[in-house]
Amino acid sequence: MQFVGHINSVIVEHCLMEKLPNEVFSSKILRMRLRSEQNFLESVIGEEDKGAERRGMLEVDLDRLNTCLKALKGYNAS
Amino acid sequence: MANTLGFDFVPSDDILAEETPLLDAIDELRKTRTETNIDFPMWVVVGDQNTGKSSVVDAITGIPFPVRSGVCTRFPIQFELRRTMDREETAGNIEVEVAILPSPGEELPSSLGAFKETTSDMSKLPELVEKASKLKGMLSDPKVDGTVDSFTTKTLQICAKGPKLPCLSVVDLPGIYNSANREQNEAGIQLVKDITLRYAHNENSIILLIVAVDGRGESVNHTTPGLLKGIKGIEKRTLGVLTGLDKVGEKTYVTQIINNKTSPIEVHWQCLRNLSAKERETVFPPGADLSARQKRRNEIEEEFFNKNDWNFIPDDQKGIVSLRKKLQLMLRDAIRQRSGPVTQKLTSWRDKMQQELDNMNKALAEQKDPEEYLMDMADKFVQTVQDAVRGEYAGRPFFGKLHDSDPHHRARRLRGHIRELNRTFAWAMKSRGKTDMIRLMENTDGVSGQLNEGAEKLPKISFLSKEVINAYFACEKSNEVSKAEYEIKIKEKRPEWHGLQHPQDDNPAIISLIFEAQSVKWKELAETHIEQVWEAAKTFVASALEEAVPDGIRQKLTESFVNDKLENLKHGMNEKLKEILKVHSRANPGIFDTYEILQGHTLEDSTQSQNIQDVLATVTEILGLLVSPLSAEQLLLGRGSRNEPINFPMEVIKKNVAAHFTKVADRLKLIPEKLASSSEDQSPATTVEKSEGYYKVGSDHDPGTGRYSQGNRKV
Repeated sequence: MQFVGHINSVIVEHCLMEKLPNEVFSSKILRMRLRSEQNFLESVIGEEDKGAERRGMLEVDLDRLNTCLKALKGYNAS
Repeated sequence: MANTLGFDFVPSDDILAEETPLLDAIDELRKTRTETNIDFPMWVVVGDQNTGKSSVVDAITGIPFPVRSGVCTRFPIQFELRRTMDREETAGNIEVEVAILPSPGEELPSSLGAFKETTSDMSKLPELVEKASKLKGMLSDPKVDGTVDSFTTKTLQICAKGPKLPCLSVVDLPGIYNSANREQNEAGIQLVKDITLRYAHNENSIILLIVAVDGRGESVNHTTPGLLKGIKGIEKRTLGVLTGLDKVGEKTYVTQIINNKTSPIEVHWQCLRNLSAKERETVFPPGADLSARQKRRNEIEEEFFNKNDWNFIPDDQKGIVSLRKKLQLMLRDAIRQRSGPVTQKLTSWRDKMQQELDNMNKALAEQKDPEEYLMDMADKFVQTVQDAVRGEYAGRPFFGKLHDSDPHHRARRLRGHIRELNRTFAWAMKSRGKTDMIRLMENTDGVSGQLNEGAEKLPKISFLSKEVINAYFACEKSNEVSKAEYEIKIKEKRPEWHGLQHPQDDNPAIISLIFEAQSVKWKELAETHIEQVWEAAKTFVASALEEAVPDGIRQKLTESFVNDKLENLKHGMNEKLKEILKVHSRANPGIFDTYEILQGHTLEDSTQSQNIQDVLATVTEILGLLVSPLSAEQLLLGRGSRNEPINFPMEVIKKNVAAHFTKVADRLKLIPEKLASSSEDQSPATTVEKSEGYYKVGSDHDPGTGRYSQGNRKV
């Protein structure tokens, strides 16, 4: 029975180091989340899709540009 | 008379009527967030400060612009005036929207991008402009000495729509100035010139150059015309406006100006009678009807030109009404003339944008199944953690390089980090874990001696931060006592704890109690260790996640469960600590069953050997006294110095010899006492020794050798 050894083996090693690879973020944890939380995937991936904002902006601006170009058509024809 | 523009001054209310759809489309396009430089023909009002620029803008637009004396325009203000066709004239109120446009080529901070105010009450416009100028990020804050260098290339956009408004796009630029003061510093002088030049060089800018004449009719504050001189094609797209005519006595100078005899650039001139700030306030109280207000302004101007002898100026070069028509005509012509290059530019922009959008859509279509995408991240994370736990760092840039001392990388080498924390914990336990630290043996002076174990040791070399090491050594220092003192202390407790033992015997329970008292700091030290180890793991996890998971997802995952999982681990560690402390809190005789097998001698042997060491130390001291040459010399001479005259009366020699051997005899007497105490006296020394034995076996905090100071401290 050795207190220091006990702390370092049982607590640091067993309760932390051995569990760290699989008990923080793993495919198993993800699968459980996906099963238990319905919108989990959308809410997580949605955050990442910064592209969506840019895509939205581009779509709006393209509309504006096409309106302008349409209005300019008359000028260039004359 | 010069008329460089060659206008066809056909009076018409709707010169730009045909252009309205295009102008609307362009206004809409200026709101774009993907491109800041929307280049399209528009009026740009330039001039020196105090030439009445803002009054001219007010007169052109009919919008009561916030002109206050002493307050200058600190950023370009872009007016977009549009006549609404779909409203009944009677119902037609003006609707104004105020927004901020970014500096060319820059992105607007989101706080400014979000600014959007609308009103139909024109009297509120100055308030809105003031509000925009006070937004954080719009202008820099005043400096400590009160000076302001607050000019900015960001643009305030005022879009006004109403049935009676002319179609106009006008940008009012900050006025050029030449001497700095509290309100405007040296840096601003150049910035304002640069703003003016940037607009002037743009072929889509139609310049409205405002020049004021003084009492003698000479132009004053005329840095701007000189600044514009030489810019390609500037004279063809510039309209000069003369203000301050109401102050003119000698009119000859005015004639010279409008005939381009004195101005650095040759342009078509228009003369206006502006209202002074005071007149504006009295003639147009806040909330006055806009058309009535404009009508009144024009009447004052008309009266002025009629009353005074301004016949030498052609009618079409006097007053706001003809000016506005020229503006519209010039804008219309510029639009028609520039439609080719503008179309070209917009087309190329459109194509680029379409390409970007196509690429994004393609990438989106090719993107993996989102579930699989997440699983890949998890696998990558697990692999990194496994490598770090096993200490397999080689060949992974994530873990850094041999000589890098970046603490960020160091924290990634988790196994090494944890081992160092374990060692530090062992040292802290050894140095401070025990409540009473017992000295091994007394010196002959009876005061100082070696500490039985531990003593205060601090790690000399460690890559851990000072804060971390200090955390381990934050608990109270151990008390230092001699064995004799400690034995007395325990002996005194004996009667209080007596059970049914023989009067000479201790209640065995007392050993457990001593152990309990001696190990009282273990909990605190272990908790510190757990906290430090867990923090190290947490920092590591953040790094490993950073490597495996993109920003947005990482934040979401951390909030969703990673933080909770880490907390769970910490909770588990603390729960386990409770269990371990429960086992270790009392001395348990069972723990010695394996000691003899593993250590090769009994605990009693171990304590005996300590007493024998004590005896041996006394013998060594005696031998030292007998063989020391210096002692012999002192004995014979009675002095310590060879330089003094030799003098050895028999009395002194006899006395010194006697004293020396008495000392030797005293030490010799100690030996049987010490031997007796090591073999016969079982109480209370044995109790203390037993408890010491329990402590030694129970704590076992030998952290090995090497990195830390090994020397025991003398007390």
